[in-house]
Amino acid sequence: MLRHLGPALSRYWPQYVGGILILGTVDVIQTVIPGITARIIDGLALFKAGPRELGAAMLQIGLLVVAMTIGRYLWRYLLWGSARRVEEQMRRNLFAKFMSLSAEFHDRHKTGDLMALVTNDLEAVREALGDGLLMISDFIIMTTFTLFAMFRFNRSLTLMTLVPLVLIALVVTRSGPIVFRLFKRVQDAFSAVSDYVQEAMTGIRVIKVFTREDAAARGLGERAMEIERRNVRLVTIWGLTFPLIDFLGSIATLILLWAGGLLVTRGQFSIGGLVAFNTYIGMLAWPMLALGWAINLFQRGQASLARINEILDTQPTILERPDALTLDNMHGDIAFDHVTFEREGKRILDDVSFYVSPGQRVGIIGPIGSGKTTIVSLLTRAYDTTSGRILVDGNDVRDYRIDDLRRAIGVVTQDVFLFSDSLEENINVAGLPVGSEEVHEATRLSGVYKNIMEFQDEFGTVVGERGVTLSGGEKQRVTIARAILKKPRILVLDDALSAVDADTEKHILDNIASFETTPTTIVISNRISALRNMDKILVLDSGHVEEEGTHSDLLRAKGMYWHIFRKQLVERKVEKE
Amino acid sequence: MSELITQEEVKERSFDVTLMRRMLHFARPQAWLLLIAFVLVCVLNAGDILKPLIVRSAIDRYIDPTSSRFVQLDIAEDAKLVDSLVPPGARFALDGHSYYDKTEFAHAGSVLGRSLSGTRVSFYVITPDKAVQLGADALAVYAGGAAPVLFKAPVPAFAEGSFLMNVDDLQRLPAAEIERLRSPDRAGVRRLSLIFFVVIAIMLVVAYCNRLLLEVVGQRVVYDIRVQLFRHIERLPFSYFDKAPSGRLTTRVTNDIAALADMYVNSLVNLAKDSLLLVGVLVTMFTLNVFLTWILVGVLAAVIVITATLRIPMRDTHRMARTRLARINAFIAERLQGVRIVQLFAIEEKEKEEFDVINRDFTRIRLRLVHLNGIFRPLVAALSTFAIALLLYFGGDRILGGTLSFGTLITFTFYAAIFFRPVQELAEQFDTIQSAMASAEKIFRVMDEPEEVYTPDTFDGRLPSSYDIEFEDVYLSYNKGEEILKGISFKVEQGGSVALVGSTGAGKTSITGLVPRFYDLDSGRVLLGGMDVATLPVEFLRHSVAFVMQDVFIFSGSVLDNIALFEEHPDEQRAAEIVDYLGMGFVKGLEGGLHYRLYERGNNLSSGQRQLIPFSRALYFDPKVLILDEATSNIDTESEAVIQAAIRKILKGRTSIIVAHRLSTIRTVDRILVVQKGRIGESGTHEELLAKGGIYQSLYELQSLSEEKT
Repeated sequence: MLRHLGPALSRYWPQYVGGILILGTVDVIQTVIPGITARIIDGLALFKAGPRELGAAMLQIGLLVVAMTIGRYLWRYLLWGSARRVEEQMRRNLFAKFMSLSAEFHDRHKTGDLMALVTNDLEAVREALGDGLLMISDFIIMTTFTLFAMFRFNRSLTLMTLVPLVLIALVVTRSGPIVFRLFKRVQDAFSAVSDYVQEAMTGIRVIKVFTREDAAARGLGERAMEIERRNVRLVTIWGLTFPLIDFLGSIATLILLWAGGLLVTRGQFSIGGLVAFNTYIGMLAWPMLALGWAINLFQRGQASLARINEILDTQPTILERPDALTLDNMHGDIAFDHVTFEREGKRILDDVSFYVSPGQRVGIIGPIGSGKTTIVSLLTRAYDTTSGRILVDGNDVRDYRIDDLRRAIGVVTQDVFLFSDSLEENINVAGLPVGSEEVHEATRLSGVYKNIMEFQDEFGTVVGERGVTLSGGEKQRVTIARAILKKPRILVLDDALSAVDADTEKHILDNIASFETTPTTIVISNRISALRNMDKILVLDSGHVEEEGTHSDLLRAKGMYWHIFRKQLVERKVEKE
Repeated sequence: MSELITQEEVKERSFDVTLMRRMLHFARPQAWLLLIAFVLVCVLNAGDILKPLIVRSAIDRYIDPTSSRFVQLDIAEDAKLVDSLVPPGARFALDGHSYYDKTEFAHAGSVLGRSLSGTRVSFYVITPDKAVQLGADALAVYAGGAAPVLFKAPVPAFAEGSFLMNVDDLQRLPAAEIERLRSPDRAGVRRLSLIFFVVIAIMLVVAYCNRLLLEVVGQRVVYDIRVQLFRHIERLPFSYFDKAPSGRLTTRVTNDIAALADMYVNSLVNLAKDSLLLVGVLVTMFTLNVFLTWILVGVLAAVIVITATLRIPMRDTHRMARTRLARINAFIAERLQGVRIVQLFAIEEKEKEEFDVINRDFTRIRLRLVHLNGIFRPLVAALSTFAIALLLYFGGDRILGGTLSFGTLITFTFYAAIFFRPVQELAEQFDTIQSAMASAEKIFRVMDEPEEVYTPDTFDGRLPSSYDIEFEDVYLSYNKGEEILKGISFKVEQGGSVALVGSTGAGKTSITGLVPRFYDLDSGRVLLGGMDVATLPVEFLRHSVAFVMQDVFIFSGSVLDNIALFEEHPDEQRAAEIVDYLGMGFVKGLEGGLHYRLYERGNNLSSGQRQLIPFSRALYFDPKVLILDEATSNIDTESEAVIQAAIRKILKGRTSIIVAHRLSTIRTVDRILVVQKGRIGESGTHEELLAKGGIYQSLYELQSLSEEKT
């Protein structure tokens, strides 16, 4: 259970031990004060205490209060602070784990589910480590010392007043899981409303077209009513908890008044004792409450920790050999050697072989789902082949150090993804030691420099969620600049020009071809215009290479490529008219 | 980007009276329940105030035997002198000794200019009611003779028929005798204990009922707002939804209203409860002892000062922590979504370092909060302990002086415990109300949006009797200055059909939306059966005109629900017939047939199956006019054949306008309109247009190529 938490915890054990010791001291001091109060009150009753004794007691209490206040500050800082630091450590580990796990893991886990780990589960663990631990220590120390002090006053009275207090602990421990379950049901009802509204808002046009506004509102009404019903259900239990705890606390006072009062009339107990006892009851009620909560916190924390551990135990599926080759100066020849790739029982690539020599430009075309993008994923080792080999510079890609391989290949992915950072940070995402001039040059080559300079903050413009929204074409060209900046020996453009017009497309491709040393370039596109000047074109269909050759070869063959070509020709004609 | 990114805006809104009034307006239907809740709150407060008073009474009347304190003059000769200075009600002589009220005694000394020597004596008082309980016989034992002597109280300070005994004498009695003598006290303690029990039992019931009641009230209010807001949003015009993202509208109906719920359920009534309790306790304390009350008020002032000074940095730090956490979560979510990029660029280490910075920053803020909390909470706790010490010091002095009873002092220590609580809670309520206001403002902003005109003022009750459609020189723009339609005119006879063809963005879909009046025109008219649609009620238009949309929208629910669209009692028979008629044989194959549950967006149907659902939907409502925006997505040949047959079936006998992509569809219509950049470029039958050799021919060629092989 503690295999991943242990190292984080052990760094802070002095803080934990110190915190608990101080907490204990504060608790002890707290049990002393009612004793002083009792002594004073009894002294007053018997004319034994005068202004001098009163002043002395006042000074005593004052000093103890100061000590307690300092102690309370210290234990909070030590215990809660450490819990926060452990949380920081755990969050760091989780994030590092997320980043290290392979594509296959991320395909299986939704972002939302992983986020729940860093938010809900981590919080549950932190609460168990902070509040939970604190409450348990507080319960043990406070209860022990208070009971000890009470026993010294009067044994039977202690036992009697203890009964309702123990019931408080029982109430909280018992109702906790029920309340938690009912609370989850409320949340479920809320999610149901949320889903319903989300769906209705997305499909609002259908609703309005068929004038189903009233019917849809009725549907919402039913679900909203369920929230109401479940909330009221929750409150039938949860709403009883606090009044019941108050009641049990008052019962303890009542027992004290009744039994203690009678003892005083018999001369077996003092008024000062009554007052002290009443304070002790107040001091015991809280730890009883805390005990119940702590137990619930630990249960929840344990379940959450198990989930976190499961992820931290997961190992990446794409591994580096211990004696992996470094890749300093890549030539950039690529060979697919009878590559087959299967996922979830489906064959995505079927015995694909081809060769690309350094500096050669290859186009890949084919319908959706034909396996074009998979070729890139295998080349960059997002996945490994099921059978067959992929060779780069004559070595299997699995023999290289993963980072070296990926750094040497520049990929522009189909789905443009930019981080909510400035454009400069997005383009130099790798944090390369290059100056702004080089960043600007990369954007000139990808044809987006002018657009960027039109923004108010130029390269400092923040994009995404909290910033400027870029058009699809701008985004694509920014991602191309991002890949170019790496000066990769292999450059892959995966449908990266779909949102730019034909002229810009040609311009960008020409720019890339004119590099000092032309990188090996793979262009995946559905547009003939982007591919026609390539040295070689592969036509992919359901996982295998259907045709291969230059533009003119393929047109002569009158096959799939030729068909696509004709269709696009007419399309352009229609567009022009 | 994703809604996962929990960008938490800083929610704050200064107090706004108009806003508050509008918010309270929603609670109006629950006014009676709220009034009951208010009464229950008063009962609870009364209970909280009463409990210490019962304890006080038990101590002073029954438990404490020393409640009556006097000074005995040591030197008998002074008696006459002192007697002349002390009012008769504050002195009495007993057993040859003179006893004086302590304050008056001291006063007499100061008048005389020398200190008088005296001994403090406490008397145990047997009040007349206790004397009756004990009986004359039991008292007679102590009358006269032996050392512990019971005296008949000699002064009006004691009630007629009271007896006095020196406390020292009382305590010297054998245990059995004390037991007997004090038996009325024990009865009194038992009686007050019973009353105490009744009070706390009532409080238990009332507190529970109150909690339930408030929940019901709050939930009802929230239910009303939620349904009202939803209904309002539904009736907003189409153009509104083109601009407002559905996610934001969803948040209004869900989270923003949840923030309001918190206010209605907790804050409003608690605000009243806390203020009343504060006032109630204060008034009670002042009637008991003015001086001690001032002490507690002094400490309360210190608590308020501390709360006021620390609350703002605490709240700000709390907010900072929240935005920092939102940033961390946004960072993680974004890196998870872009994990491919991170790995492709091999920047895992750089990202981790960047994450460390914000992660550490968050911890730093949280630690600052721990620090502030570490000052605030213990300081308030220290003040309340200190308050008790102060009460003891000053109260003790007064007990010695005989002007304060133990019971009152103890009652004050009880009150000290509940006196500071409301201040803390008031501060919290204030924050809740502020954040509720921020949400309310956003909700009202949506509520203030004007609704679509469902029934125009010009509607005179006349409805068209035929269903032919005519467009007369129609101009339309969604945004000012960007004309989408520029003078569209055409006519479709009743039962006739036209196909709209043209490239994407030419304005085909915009034309179709004008018959059911989704948008208002810039100029021109759209006529249905010769009547301008702008003068007809929306319900009528949308009932007569079925609209089969391009993007198939499937709601999660059964197949039947999706056909009958939320109808309360859907006609299953009719739906089954339609399904048969349209050749949707697959429905029978589904588990539960029409009752088969479809997932969100119909993900458990094939795309061909999905496309048939809107057809059945349109037929279910048996429209007179059909508008079909044909889907372009590719499906398998078998489904294609079914869909083509279905299209022919639903067009039969209905006036139809079709945005067509399939050649087979285009060939079934009476006339084809080629839409080009918001105008009608060519029109005619298929053969006429082909013969013309214009743009239609190119379109036709393209479509043929697409259908040839895909």
